[in-house]
This record gives sequence, C-alpha cells and structure tokens, in this order.
Amino acid sequence: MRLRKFFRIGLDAPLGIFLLSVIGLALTLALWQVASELVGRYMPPPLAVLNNMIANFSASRALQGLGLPPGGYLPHLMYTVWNVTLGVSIGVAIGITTGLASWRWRMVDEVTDPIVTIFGTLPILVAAPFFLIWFGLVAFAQVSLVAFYAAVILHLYSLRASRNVDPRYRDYALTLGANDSALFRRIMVPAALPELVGGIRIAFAAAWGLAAIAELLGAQFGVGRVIVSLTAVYDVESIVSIVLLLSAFAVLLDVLVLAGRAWATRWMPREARRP
Amino acid sequence: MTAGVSIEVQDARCRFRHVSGNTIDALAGVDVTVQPGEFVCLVGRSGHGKSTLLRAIAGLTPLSSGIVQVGGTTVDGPSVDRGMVFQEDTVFPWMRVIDNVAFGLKNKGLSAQQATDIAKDWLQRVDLADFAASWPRELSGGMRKRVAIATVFATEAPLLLMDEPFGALDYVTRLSLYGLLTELWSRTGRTIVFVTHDIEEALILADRILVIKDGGVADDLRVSLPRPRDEERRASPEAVAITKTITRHLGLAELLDRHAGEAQK
Amino acid sequence: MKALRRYVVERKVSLLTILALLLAWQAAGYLSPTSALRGSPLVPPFEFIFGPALLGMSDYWQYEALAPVPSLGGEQTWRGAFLALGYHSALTLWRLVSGFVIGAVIGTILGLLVARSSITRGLFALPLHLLRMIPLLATIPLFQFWFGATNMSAIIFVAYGVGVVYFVGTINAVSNIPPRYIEYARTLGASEWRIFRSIIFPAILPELFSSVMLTLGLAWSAVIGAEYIGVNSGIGRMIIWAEFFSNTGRMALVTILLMVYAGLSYFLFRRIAARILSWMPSSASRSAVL
Repeated sequence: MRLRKFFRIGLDAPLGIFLLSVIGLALTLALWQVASELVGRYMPPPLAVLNNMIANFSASRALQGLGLPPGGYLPHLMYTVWNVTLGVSIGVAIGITTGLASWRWRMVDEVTDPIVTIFGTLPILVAAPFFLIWFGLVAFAQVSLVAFYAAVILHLYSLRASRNVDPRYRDYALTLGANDSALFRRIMVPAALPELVGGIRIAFAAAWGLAAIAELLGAQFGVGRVIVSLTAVYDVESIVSIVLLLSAFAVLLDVLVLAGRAWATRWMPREARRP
Repeated sequence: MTAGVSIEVQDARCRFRHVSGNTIDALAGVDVTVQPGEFVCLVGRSGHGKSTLLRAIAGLTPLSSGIVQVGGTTVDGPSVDRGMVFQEDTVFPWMRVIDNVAFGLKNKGLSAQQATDIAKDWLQRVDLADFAASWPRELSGGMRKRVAIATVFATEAPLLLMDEPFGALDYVTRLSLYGLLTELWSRTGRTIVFVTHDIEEALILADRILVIKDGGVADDLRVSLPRPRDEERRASPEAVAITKTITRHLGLAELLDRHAGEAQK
Repeated sequence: MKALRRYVVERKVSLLTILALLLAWQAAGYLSPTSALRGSPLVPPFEFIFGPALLGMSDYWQYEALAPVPSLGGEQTWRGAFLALGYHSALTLWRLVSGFVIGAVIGTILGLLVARSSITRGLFALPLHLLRMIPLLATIPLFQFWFGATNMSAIIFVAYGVGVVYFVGTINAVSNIPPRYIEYARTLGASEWRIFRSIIFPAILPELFSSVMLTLGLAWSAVIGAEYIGVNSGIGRMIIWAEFFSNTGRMALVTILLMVYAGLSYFLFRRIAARILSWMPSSASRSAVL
C-alpha cells in the first residue's frame, strides 16, 4: 500500500519529488562545473572540492603548513559546531523563559520589552568586537554572542506564540487546578512549541554566521580561523571545502531540530504538522 | 464519593467596557441560591449573561461587585474544586486521553501512579477504556466530550459547571450524553450548574431551571418530572407548562405574533 | 503634552528600564578598571563617547579640502569628525539600499519564474534549500576572491543574501495559493497576465512584506560583515579600525549610530508598508483570506 503510494505517477508523489530533487542537484553541480571552467582558479570545480574535503577531513598537511594543528578540518568544525549548539541552547532556554514570563506577568513584559526592541533592531554583529575585547576568550565571546541573539529571537517568538494560544486552554487548565508551573510546562510550552521551533531554526541559521564572524575577527581555532589562514594563501578550494562542510553540519542540525519537532507535534493532525 | 456543595450568589454585578467605549452590564444584580446536589439549568438567549454568571461562579470572570460563595467559601479565582466543561473542545490535544483525565488529579498533588489509576477507572465509566493511549484527534467530538466529563468527575470536584457543553454535537450523541451525565450525577450527588439555550435539554436534565434575562434571574422554575425524562414525560402537561413559561420570558410569543401580523398584511 | 504625559504614565516601567540601563552603563564606565592605553576604557562613559571619541572620528577623514586631515599632521576637528562619519555612513547606506533592492527584485523575479510550473519548483527545491543553509557571513572571503574587496563586491554580497530569501519566499508563497483559485480564473477565461495581477501578486504581497522585515536585519548584518572583513570603508570598517587600538569609545559611538540607523530603517519601512497596503486595501484583504 505504502509502496504503491510511493511509486504513484505524479509530481506530488514521493518518488517524483525525490527524482526531481536528484535531477535538480545534478544540474546544480553541472552548472558549478561550467562556472569553474569559465572563472578558473577562484572557482574550483565540484570534484576538486570533494577530493579536498576527503583529503583534509581528519588530517591535513596544508593546515599544518599554515601553523594550525595537524588534525585536519574535523576538530575545527567540531569546535565551531559545539560553540554554536551551546550558544543556541543557552539562548533558547533563556528566551523561552523570559518570553513566557512576559506573557504571564505584565511587569516582566514592560521591563523586557525595551531591551528586546533595542537589541532586536540592532544588527547584533556590531557587538562582536565588544565581546571580543571584554571577554578576551573568543570562545566565550562567540557563545555569548550566539546565546544573546538566540535569546532575543526566542523571547519574541515565545511571547507571540503564547499570545496565540487559545485562552480557553488556559481557562480549562485553571479550573482543573493548574498552578503556574503546570500551566507553563504542560499547557503553554506544548501549545506554543510548533511556533517556537520556527524561532529555533531562525536562531540556528543566524548563529552559524555569527560564530564564523567572531572567529574571522580573531580566533586561534575554529572554522573562521581556518578560513582566515586560507585566505592569506589564496587557497579558495579549501575555503569552499570547509564552508560546505560547515553547511553540512548546519543541515544536519536543522534536520535534527525538524525531527524533534515531528516528535513533539505528533499530537497534531497530519496536515498541520508540516513546518 | 464526594457530595455536592451549596452556591450562594448575592447581588452579583459584572460590568464590561465594550470596544465602542460603552459599558455593558453582563450581570445586573443576580441573587441565586443553589442547594447541595441540585442540577440547575441556566436558560436564556445569547448575550443575556448566562455564561458570565457561570464564569463568575468558576472564578474565571471577576465580579465588579457582589459576592459568590461556594460551600460557604468566597470565590476569588479558579479552583480544582469547581470543575468546568466548556462548549468548545478544550480537551488538550497535546496530551493523550489518559493524561488529560489525570491532569487535574496531578494538580491536586496525587502521584503519577495514583492519578493514572483513577483516570483509568473513570475512562472505564465513560466507556473509553480502549482509548486511554489515543491522541484526542483520533476521537470523535462526542468521545472528546466524554473525556472532558471524565476529567472533571475524576477530580471529585463537588461542583461542576457546564457551559453549553453539548452545543456542537449531533442529536443522537447528545441524547446519549444526557444519559451518561444524569447517571454520573445521580450516583455521585454533585451539584451541577448547566448553561443551555435549548429548553428540551433543560427539561431532560434539570431539577430547577433559572431563566436568565438582561443580566438577571427572570424566573425560577422547579422541574419535578420523574427520570428518565423520555419523550412522553417531556410531553406531559407539567413539561408543556414549563416550556410555555420559558418561551414567554424569552419573548418568543411577541416575535411569533409580529411575524403572524406581518404575514396577514 | 497630554498625550506625552499619558505615554509616560503608561510606559513608565519600560522608560525606567531604559534609564536604568543607561545609568548602569555609565556607572560601569566609572567603576571598570582603566586600561594602560589612553583612550580605551573598558566601558566608555557617555561623556567620553560623545566627547573625545566623537572628536577622534576626524582621524578617519581623508580629504584636506574640507577639513584638516590628522593622518597628514592636521589637527582633530569636529567638522572632520562629522564629515568622516557622514562619508562612511553614506557608503554603508548606499551598499545596504542598493544591495537590498537588487536582491529583492531579482530574487522575486526568479521566484516567480521558477514557481510557474511544479517541475521547476521540484528541480529548485533541494538546491535552494542547501544554498540557504550555507552560513552567509562565512562566505565573505569567497566574495572577496570573486569580486574583489570593492564597493561592488559588498553590494553583490548583500544582494545575494537578500535575494536567496526572496527567491525561496516567493516560491513558497506561490505554491501556497490554493490551485482552485487559479483554475477558477482559467474557467472564467482569464489571461496569464490577469491571473498574475489579480491572484498571484496579491497573494504573495504579504509574504514579500514579511520578507522585508526578516531581510532588513540580514542585510544590515551582511553589509557590516562585508565591511568588517572585506571592503576597507564604511562604518562597519570604522569599528574594526577602532578595535585595532581597543578604542572602545569610538566603537561604542559607531554602535550607537548603527542602532539609530537600523531602528530608522525598520521604522521607515513600516511606514512605507502601511502606505502601500492602504493603497491596495482590496488585495491585502483578499490575500488575508487565501
């Protein structure tokens, strides 16, 4: 039954979508190949980039030659991925807490509102050099920058999401004796979760760039540091490789977030579950 | 088994500010006394204050002045001792059926195990034992109402407040739920206040019907028909007399007269 | 006056919060240890930011005809400071606005072209998704290699960042239009252009506007990022020049300026959006139904 649905002819059938995606990806790679023939040195062809990724993934002479540790791309990737994940996690926890608290207590809303308005409009990037001077340690600056941004985004998302939760659920919960803790944990968070995931994905998407900028501005380690070193020797092939590898991790984490969303929204009807 | 409690409403007033800037008196000085274990229906047209009175008793809508006492204690906010079933589907869609029924019990401080055991027992009594692990979306509208009823009965709240709970259901489902509700009520002896705009519903369920009009109690009618109130009993002279009284209060007679007059012209 | 008083009374907690933040900054400025380098307190107090730091901005002025140039031995002047700030602000704003407009227009047009058939939509879906997952700011060095560390490079970078969002947003908006609307229009004999004008365009308009709010922040980040690492001018670059000497006062000054610019850009856009949406009330309300 399922198989038949999969092989059903049509552009909305899973097989059709899958085939189109594969063809689309192949065409993109072909286009890239053509572009690299035209541009030359600064646009390495896809196969060269793939070879580079494999050759330098866990051990690299080239990086060693630039004065970096000999571990290849992997330790730098893990370092950046870890800092991003840590920063986003901290920010998400803080943002959801303050967002829900602002929904519950007017006072909290009035205090947080101007702060979030100011830092929501400020391109958070300008804080990066300050964080670097104040905290010295790049990792700390990086994590706080990402956490700060994620907290602002999640505050706004959770406040909006909690205001969108149908008030009848709150009334019903109160007549069943729910206290604040039960109200937050068992009513507001699950009801607002689908919208919150949207905020988490946005926070992650921006976090990769923020972490990279912090490293580009002066780190001893991490993807940004590798890019700086490679830029100095005009090694575009390696830059493309490590940027794409970082993107692969970004995709992976996004898939994980979506999987978490699918699990957390399994109570919803199928049509409503799509992100 | 918990017995019901009494309700005492004294000169309850509730004033809202409408978006237009006008103030509206949803309750204009209501006095009501309900005996423990009574099944009271509030009947009236939309917008005359039935739901506001119910929400005031629940503690969800604060009064502008006056007092509501339940079991001798003044109401100042919602509580697990006053269970409420809403017209809308309020069963939490993100909790499995069993967790919905156990929610109020856990709020009362019962352990997860105790709460689940009691919830299972109540699901059995509303004939939903097989659906304990289902999501609410997998149930029909009538089944979800049974979940809501099991939830408020399970908490042992001595007072149950129902705001047109069966309004959105089809006729047959409604009839079967009347049976379930009266059976649970007569067995447990809770006090029930039930808002409806349907006179037949009130005749089937109530000991007493309060006609609500313009934010006040227009009439207080006792229904002493024997139960179960089948079609024949609902057609008895007593029932017809009550129906006539209510329709007179609701202004139906004048409406019909006017239509008849217009038709003659 | 009365309105002002009411505003103050209603928002007194918020206003007090802002005041408290400003005072806390000022207090931190006095309490934090002063560093060995002159002109670089860890937390610069406001009189420092708007005093010596502001005056010091004249260091970045290059044209002797209008004000003395300190790097050629001239003295620091207020005139030079404001000229330098204005010059670099104008550069940054130009990059932001032109990149934004180019990106939005091209992205939307590409999106409309691709969204026309479900085959092209299927072909582009995965590559576009992957393209969007590439961290934008990490690709700045690549844009430098491709287009040089130039003004044009910064504009292209902003346009790329903004354009991808519009590209994807437009495709999504078009594919979310229930097909029965378009089929219904076809049965009424509507031409392609008419379908576009009366169904597709009003349907994607709200999506375009919400994309603006999303991409405005992105565009600011892109232009500042490009100036941090690539182009050697603009107010983003001024922060880096100042950071090189840990000149926190100047950094704070530019940050405040950027805050004002970004806030103004959001405010202006909201006004424009309200204007445009009120010109087309029918399309806005129709799209709300879709």
